[in-house]
Amino acid sequence: MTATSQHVCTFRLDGHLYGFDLAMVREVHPPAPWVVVPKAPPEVHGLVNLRGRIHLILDLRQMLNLKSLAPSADHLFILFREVAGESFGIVVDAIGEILSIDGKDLEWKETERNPKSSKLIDGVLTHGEEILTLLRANALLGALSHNRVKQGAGS
Amino acid sequence: MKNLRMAQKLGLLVCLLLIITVIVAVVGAMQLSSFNTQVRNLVNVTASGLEKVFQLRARILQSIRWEKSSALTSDDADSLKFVEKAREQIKEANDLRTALAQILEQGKFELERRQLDDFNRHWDAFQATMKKVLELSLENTNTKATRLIEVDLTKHVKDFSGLAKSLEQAAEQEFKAAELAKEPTKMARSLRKFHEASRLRDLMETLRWTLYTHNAASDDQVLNQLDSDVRQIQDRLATTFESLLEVADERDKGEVKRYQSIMNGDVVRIADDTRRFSRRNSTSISQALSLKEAAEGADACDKVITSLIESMRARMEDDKKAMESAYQWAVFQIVFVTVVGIIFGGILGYTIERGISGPMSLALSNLHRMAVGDLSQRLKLDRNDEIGEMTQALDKVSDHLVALLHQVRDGADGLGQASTHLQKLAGDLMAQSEETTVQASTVASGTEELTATIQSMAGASEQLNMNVTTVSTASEEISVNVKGISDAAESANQTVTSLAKSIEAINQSLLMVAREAREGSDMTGKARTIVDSANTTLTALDHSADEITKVTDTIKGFALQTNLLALNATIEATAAGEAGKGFAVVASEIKELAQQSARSAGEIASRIDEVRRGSRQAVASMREVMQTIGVVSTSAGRISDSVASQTETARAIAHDVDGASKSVSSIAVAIREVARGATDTARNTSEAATGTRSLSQGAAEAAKVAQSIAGNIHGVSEASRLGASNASSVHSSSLQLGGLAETLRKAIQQFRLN
Repeated sequence: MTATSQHVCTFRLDGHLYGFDLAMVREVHPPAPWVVVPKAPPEVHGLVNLRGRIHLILDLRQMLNLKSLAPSADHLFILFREVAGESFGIVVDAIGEILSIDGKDLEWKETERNPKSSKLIDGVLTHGEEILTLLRANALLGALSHNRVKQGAGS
Repeated sequence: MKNLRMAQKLGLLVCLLLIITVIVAVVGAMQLSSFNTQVRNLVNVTASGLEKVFQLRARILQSIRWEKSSALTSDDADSLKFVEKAREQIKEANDLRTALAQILEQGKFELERRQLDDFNRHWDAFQATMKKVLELSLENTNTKATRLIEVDLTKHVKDFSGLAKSLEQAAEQEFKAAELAKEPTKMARSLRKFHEASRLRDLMETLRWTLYTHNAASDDQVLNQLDSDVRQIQDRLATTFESLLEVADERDKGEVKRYQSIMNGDVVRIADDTRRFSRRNSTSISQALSLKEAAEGADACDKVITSLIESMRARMEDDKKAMESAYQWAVFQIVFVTVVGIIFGGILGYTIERGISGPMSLALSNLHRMAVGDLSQRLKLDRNDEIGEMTQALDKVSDHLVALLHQVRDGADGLGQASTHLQKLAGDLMAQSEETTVQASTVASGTEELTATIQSMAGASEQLNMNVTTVSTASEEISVNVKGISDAAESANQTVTSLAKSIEAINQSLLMVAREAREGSDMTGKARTIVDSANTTLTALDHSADEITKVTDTIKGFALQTNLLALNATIEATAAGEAGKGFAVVASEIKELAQQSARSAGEIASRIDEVRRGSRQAVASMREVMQTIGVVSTSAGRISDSVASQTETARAIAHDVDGASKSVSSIAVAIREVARGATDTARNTSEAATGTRSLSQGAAEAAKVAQSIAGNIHGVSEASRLGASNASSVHSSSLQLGGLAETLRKAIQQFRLN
């Protein structure tokens, strides 16, 4: 995080403010019908067909151990670029603004004590009265419990 | 523009952005491809041509180097090696020349091709020279000749001088022996031997130096001279050997003969070879060639190649300049297209924004006016999009509201009039009830008086009846009494007549009350119709409000989608980096616009809800009014009923009074008859008795009638009191109604309808 400035795409989940590096974000998509994947890890929300392409949609609430809710009708999908992983996205409550943040503003804090989600956190900074938690999009797929079990078995 | 749907407008905007992106991409790709062509031209043709020229030059220099080496070396093997290398370089140079020609052909470099032709000419000449030099250097004759002289001949010269030395020593000894022996012949012979031997040595040395000179010389005349010199020396050597044989001892002869044969064989051969080689003179020629013609050819080639390099370098400079200009042109085009696109996008966005926010603010100000009650304004926007529909629906709402308020105002006016009327009626009714009560009490008092009179009359008649038998003596007294009775009866008759009149008046006023009550009932019916029509209008208003809510919901949906679109445009623009900054600005403008639209739609929806709530309240007030009217209506019905019963009672009273009047009249007649009888007392006392009895009976009857009248009058009085209380309740209700009508009117006055 030595970059002096970066763009962040912010969004809301359970009332909290989170953000992804904009370079990872491909687009924000309105809600679409999804298909539940049998025997998938609990973090997998389902599969959606967006413009003829199948995307894996993750439930970030589960991954961050937040209160799990059925997504409302006005939820949105954030889809990521190939650099973050193969055709996937997450479901969020609402989309925020595109912010340009200074690398110097970042404050490193261990706000999330859960080891399950600590690898996802990139940094924390204040935005007005709120706390903006920066997440790492390219760590999402690796953080799936399925993958972790595999890694655990391998090591 | 203003007749397009908002979605179409936004679509247009998005299309424009896409088209700009595509144009930028196409222009960039085209410029890149032309740039690529330039680069490939530079690298493939000019640079590789230049490289080939340099290689060619290197090859030529290499070949010259090997050629020089081969010309300078004296060793045959080295010479062959160097020649091979030189030939190899020349071959490679030829290959390079062909390749270069192809490249120049490919690049269509006319100037360079002419220079290459020039070079080819020089090169061919140089190559020919080189070939000659190389062939000559391979022969290496001068070196061979030198070697012959220095090795073979020198050895022979040494041997020969050894021979000469031994001969000289022998001759010296012989000379000394002959001197001692004093033999002049021997002395002369040994002297001659000495002399010949030293001459042999000299000649051999001379031969060697002559051959050296021969080898070094290259001029034909000198060579011929030297050739004859060599021949002379050989002849003289032969002569010397002949002489030596003559003077030699038997001991030396063999040796001399052997040398002679060497002389004739080997030495002559060496001299011939040396001369032949010297004649060839290849090394000198090759060196001369190498120093002069080959060097000149090489210089010419080099000069041409240098000029070729210069022109290629100039061409490379040109290519570099072309590339730079292509790069600048590409940058200019991309920047120009981007700027034009941003300007167009900005204008279109501004137009759309104006198209939405202008009518929006108009509609909003109209809603604000509506909120404070000014319904006179209409937007009348000639637009076919959602905004147009919304403003038209708003106009329709205003129309409906105005119509509703007109109706309500008319109803309130009618209601006010009706309540005023009702109030007046109730006042009248009260006054009349009071009058009725007064009159009834008058009647009652009259009736009581009458009853009393009749009772006294009955008492008197009873007394009369009792005294009739003893009347004869008191006929005078009777006469007076009868007169009093007659007066009383007359007064009773008068009272009854006035009573009848009063009852008639009561009847009249009661009929009037009944009529007024009916009118009041009609009024309430009218008011209900008005309230019903107000209700219908309110339903229409609700419907319009629902439509507006739907439109605002649609606008909110569009705003949300636009917001997403703008967000994604921002993401793309940010991903595009510096080039996308302009797009990012446009996208954030669109986002702002969408949020503004959503806010405006929300405000409109809340305003419409307020209007709807206000009109619901108005209808509730109307319902209250209607309930009050219902109460009034019931009161009026009750009045009507009580008036009807009063009328009935009054009619019965009238009937009874009529009967009373008749009875009283008959009493008066009887009394008059009594009077007449009294004046004739003496004459007809039995008649009087009969008369008094009948009088007594009539009086009792009259008393009963009067009693019933009194009862009826009491009923009238009660009914009129009830009527009065009803009238007062009607009065208060109508006052309340009037107040409500006034409130309603004031409420409506708050609205400006025109």
